[in-house]
Amino acid sequence: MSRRPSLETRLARIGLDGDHAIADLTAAGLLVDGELDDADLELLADAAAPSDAAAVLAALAAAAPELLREVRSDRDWLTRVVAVAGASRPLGELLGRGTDAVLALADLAPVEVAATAAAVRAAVLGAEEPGAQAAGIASIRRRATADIAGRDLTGALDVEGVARELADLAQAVLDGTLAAVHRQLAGERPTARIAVIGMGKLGGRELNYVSDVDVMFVHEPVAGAAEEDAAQEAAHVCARLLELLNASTTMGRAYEVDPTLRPEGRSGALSRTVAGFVAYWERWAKTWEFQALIKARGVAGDEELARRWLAAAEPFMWPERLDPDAVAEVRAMKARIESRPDVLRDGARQLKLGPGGIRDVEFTVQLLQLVHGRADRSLRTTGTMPTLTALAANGYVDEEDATELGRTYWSLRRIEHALQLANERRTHTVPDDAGTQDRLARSLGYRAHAEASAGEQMMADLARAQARVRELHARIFYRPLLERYATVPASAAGVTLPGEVARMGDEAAAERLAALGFRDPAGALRSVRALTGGVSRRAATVRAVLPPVLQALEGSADPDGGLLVLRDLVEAQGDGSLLLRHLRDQPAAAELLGRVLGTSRLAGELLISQPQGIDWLRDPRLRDAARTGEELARMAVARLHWQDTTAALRRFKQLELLRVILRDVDAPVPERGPGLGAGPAAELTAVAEACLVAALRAELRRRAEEHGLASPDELPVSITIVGMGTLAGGELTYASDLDVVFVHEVAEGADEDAAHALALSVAANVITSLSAITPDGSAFDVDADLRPEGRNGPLSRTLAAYEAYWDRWAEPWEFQALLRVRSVAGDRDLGQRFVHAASERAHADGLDAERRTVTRRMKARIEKERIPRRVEAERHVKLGPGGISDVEWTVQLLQLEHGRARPALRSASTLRALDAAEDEGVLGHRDVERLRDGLRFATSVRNRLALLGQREADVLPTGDRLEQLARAMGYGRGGRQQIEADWFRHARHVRAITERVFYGMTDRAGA
Amino acid sequence: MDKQQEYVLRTVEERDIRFIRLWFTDVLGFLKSVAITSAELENAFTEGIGFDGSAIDGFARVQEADMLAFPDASTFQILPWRPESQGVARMFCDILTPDGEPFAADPRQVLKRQLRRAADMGFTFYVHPEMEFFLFENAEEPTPLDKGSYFDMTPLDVQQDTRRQAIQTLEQMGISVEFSHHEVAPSQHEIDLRYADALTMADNIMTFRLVVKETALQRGVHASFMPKPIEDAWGNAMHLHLSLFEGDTNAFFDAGAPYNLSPIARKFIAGMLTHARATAGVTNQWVNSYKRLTARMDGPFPSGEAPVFVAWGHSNRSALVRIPMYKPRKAASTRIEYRAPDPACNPYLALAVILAAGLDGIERDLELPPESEDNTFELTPAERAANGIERLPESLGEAIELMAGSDLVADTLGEHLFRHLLANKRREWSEYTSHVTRFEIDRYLPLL
Repeated sequence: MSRRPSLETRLARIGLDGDHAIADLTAAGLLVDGELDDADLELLADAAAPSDAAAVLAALAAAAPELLREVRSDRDWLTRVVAVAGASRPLGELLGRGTDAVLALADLAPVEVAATAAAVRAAVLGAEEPGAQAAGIASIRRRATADIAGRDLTGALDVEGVARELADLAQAVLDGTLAAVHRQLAGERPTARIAVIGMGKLGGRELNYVSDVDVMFVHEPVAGAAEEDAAQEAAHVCARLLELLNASTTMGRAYEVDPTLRPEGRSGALSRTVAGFVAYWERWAKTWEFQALIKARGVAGDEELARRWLAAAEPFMWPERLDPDAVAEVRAMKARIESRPDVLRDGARQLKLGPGGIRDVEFTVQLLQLVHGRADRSLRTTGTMPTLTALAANGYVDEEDATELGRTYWSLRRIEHALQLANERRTHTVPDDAGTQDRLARSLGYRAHAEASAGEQMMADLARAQARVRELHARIFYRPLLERYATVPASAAGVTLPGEVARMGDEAAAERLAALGFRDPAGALRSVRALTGGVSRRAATVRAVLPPVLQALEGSADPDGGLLVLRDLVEAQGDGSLLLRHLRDQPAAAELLGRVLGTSRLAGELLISQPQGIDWLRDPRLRDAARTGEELARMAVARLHWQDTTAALRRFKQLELLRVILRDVDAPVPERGPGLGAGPAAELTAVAEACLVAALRAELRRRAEEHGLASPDELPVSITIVGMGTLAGGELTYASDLDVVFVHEVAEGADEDAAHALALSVAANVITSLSAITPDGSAFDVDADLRPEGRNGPLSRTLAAYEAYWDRWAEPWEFQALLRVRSVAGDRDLGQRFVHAASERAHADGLDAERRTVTRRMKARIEKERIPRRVEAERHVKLGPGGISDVEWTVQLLQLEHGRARPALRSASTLRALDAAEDEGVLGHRDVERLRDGLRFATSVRNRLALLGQREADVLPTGDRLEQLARAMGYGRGGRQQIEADWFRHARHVRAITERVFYGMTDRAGA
Repeated sequence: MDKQQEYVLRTVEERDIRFIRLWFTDVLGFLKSVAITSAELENAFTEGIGFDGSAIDGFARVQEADMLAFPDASTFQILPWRPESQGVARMFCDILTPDGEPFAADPRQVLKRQLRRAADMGFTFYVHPEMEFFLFENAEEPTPLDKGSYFDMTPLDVQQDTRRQAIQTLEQMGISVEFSHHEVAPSQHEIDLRYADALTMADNIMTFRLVVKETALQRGVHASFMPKPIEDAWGNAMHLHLSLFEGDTNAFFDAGAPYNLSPIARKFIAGMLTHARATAGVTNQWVNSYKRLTARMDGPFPSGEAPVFVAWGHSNRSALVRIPMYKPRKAASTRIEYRAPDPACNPYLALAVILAAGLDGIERDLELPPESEDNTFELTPAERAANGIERLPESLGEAIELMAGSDLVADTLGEHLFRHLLANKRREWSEYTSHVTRFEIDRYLPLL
């Protein structure tokens, strides 16, 4: 038989510190012969903070022993007292003083509005001075709060009921106080009738334990009274009411009553007549003020007056036409609040404003109410939850989604309640420490188990709820739109038309799309119809998976264009589509797809032609797995075994291009500003190289087979491809050609002429195999025009022939091209020798005066002649002043000038050469930084223009296309002016350096 | 809608105002006006008044021409020279793009941006200008109406009347006049405006120019702010008295420091001097501006009327920045006087670049060079070089190139406006350089 553990042990198990607790429990008379009743122990164990509960009982024993005896005689009563005392320190303190708050916990009766109002009125009229009156009100309010909390914490009242009773309590307090104050100030013969309008959560009958109580006052003269007298009386009464309710007293404070939502805010009159409100609304009110009115209802004072006020307000809240700016304003206001530093700091712990928080739910509901409430009066309810229910009942929101959103909302509100109850503070942030979280969780009924503490379980549930809210937002917005065309006419299909389809007309649907940011809602609606129409299984799946995709499209550069591509993409999918499955299982994939399609039409087309790429949407690890150039080359070569070369390389390129685009679009905006990140250059270069390697190898293999040779190594010639320009520098853009030259070497003892001929035809075939346009498109434009004698020269030469040409015929400017060479495919040893020889020549002479002049003249001519006339030169990001070519030529001039003495400068990469120029002291830090930023920005503009599918990828666009580009580069609202200013600033800096360093113009003075 | 707007609407009704002129300023500082009826006013407050920006110098390229003018209700004034019944009023406007964003190249916006930057550093910027102008018989020839000079009591004549009426009108429009007198040159006048915050003052200067011109017109004479209309008489300056306040405290004042100049003031001056050459293109924006900024070192009086050398001094009239005599017990009046600007500048842009230069001095902790106690005109070139005293640009052409190289000016004006101003000024300079002047005809034709 096991010995019963000692009292100390048993107390310690429930988290009570022995000595302290025994003293408290003894004082409370709960210890009989030093033993604690098991039932009492269990009771304490259930409290969120047992030690607090014990302390309160001890205090109560001291303050009102008789009362405690009574409480103890009723098990349920005691349970409620212990629960409140354990969950809320300030309310516990109130109970411990033996006040009649204890009595309020005696039964389960709800707070009664009329009785409470009467009590408040009596308390005010019965006390002499304002301090005592205020304390009287506060005491009644807090007693009732304890009452509500007692039932809340013991499960007698659900969270919705708590919110409703708290609102009713506030209403009762306002009503009683108003009546008393009015009586005090106006006596028997008032000149004014006064009503209190509740706004916000009070209006919605969804109050928190500690909320701001938002109100407005309206008054009218009683029959026969002068308007001025009434106004004066109302002003006095309202001011006194606020004073009493907002006063800090020995009993705490009744409420924080906030009247600043009234017309003109703080500077406006406290109370107005109905006519006064209307005059204000007609002339001055801002859009958001009308949105605030949607939650308004009469809560105290003259009911008839409140009704008249509401009737007058209604036309303003629900105008004929939905102002798209109103929606934008609501969004902007929300974004402003959410980007407050304290909200960002608290993140997910911010229950109200954090991501997936309470405000997100309210916003979702409010936005739908705004869009549809004008046409449908049944949606004009004040509370968030009643509105959601009405939205569901009338088919604007899917029933299931609505139910789930409601459930999630209340689960967030429960945590908020517990949080506020703990200290009676208006807070929405769950504290960071485990102890407090645990206590909070316990008051919500969580209990520790083997795997997780109570607090950890609560935080996990919170995270789940927040994730759910974010998901539901998208679903709720789009699902009814998507379900709209789900059925063929009911008669034909023999099915019943769901309510939502019947309800939402085309106009309502288009309005909702416009509210979401689509510029052509009618067109968008057509796409939605095409995507979701019919009863096929696929259409049903599409309806289920589209919401997050559409939501991501909303914020992208080109929502309308993206939706069109999406339509094509979905239409290209079969019934068991992998794409749709991934989207269904992976919200992140859906989100990325939306952003990609809104940024790049090309990506959408690639997803259609390269369905394998769909895997990358789903799995970031697959997408982001680093790939070396060699791996890529191996992958490209591997394809040669099973497909015809030309088609294989095209598909390889397109698939890899898709991956690069996905990664590019997925990359965050660089901290230093849009357009200043590294971009996709390195990855694009690796893909290009892999294609060249594979194309050359395939061609050689084919030739070997033709000649009946076992291996290409036995061919009489070896060939290398040398990259030039941006390919050599590893700085390709989406729109770049591949500049190359071919070099070959005849095997010893082989027939020279035959070997040359073979090399020439291999080179020609390699170019064709990558450049030629086939049904699969082309892989790359391979351009060998930089070779000696340009298009008239042979496609390939031996190294000796190149050297002979360079030494005898080459013009000085041809050596400049040799600054950027890199062996990229084929015989590496031959390639290295070529690069070495080329580099030697490029740097042989340094830069004499003549060569400098020739170089400058050539660049000046290019500036003059190569920019198309119809283009504004200043907007040409490649050739215009301050553009890419300014940076490249400036760097090349420095390489020519200093590269001989400083080999570190000899890099084919412009960016690396710039770094070297700084390290070698050839160029100052600020100049290097400005050239680098300018180059990156211009390159980023080109890349994003190419992704957007704009034909003129070298020119900064204007108008809407500029706004699109700004969005695609990560600028926010109004980005059009900002991107232009950024470009012109970069360009100005680059040009000034180019003029000084490259052209040798004297520097302009000034800082 | 706010109290101010409400007040405006009420006043318009009570005073029976039929038309409201919405004023704004183009890049070169010319006043532009869109007239609306009182019925359209409410709409103007809430939604703005659309206009074609491509018609305004420097506002927009043709394809993005739509702009919105939003009247600033705090600038509402009834125009006193219009009939009392069915009157006309004016407000200055902020210009917004169709997206509802402030238009970056609106000069008023440029100044506001800079004032916001000052406010972020805790400063308010106050300005008190001395406005000089000539009264001529007509706009064809700069013929003086008198031969008066500084503090002369001329008989009651048309000039007196014009000046008095102009002052009266200004006062009626809420623009306080500090001081007025007949200037050094014949037919030249000066009216000093009472100090105000920089945005109000820029608005006031725009109003001032219009009032003076309008009044002169009514009196049958022509008022001109041209920087240098008469070759051998002093030109029109717009000396600016500047101060920064931190709350109610004058941030330039430091009891006990030399000239009571606080470290903030010294850095501010240092910034102004550092950028003086680059900002000249804004504060002195015309070909003619540089005819005022000349120094005839070997000539007789009135050579060296205007500051040409970048130096500062206490009561040194040859200095670009002058520290006026300190009045005991008037800490609030501690200020510095910048003497380069002329009254034909764009006041928004001029005040913006001056403030930006001063703030740059504060931000970068620039050190103030030693005071120049000599008359800078009397120094030899070597002496000036030894003292590190540079010269302001000698021509608009030089000023343009100095400005083009300035990040400070570009950042202050914004890239759009900066580019436009440069292009416009280069065009003007190029037109001028190809012009054959009277000077050349007189001097060369007989000889060559």
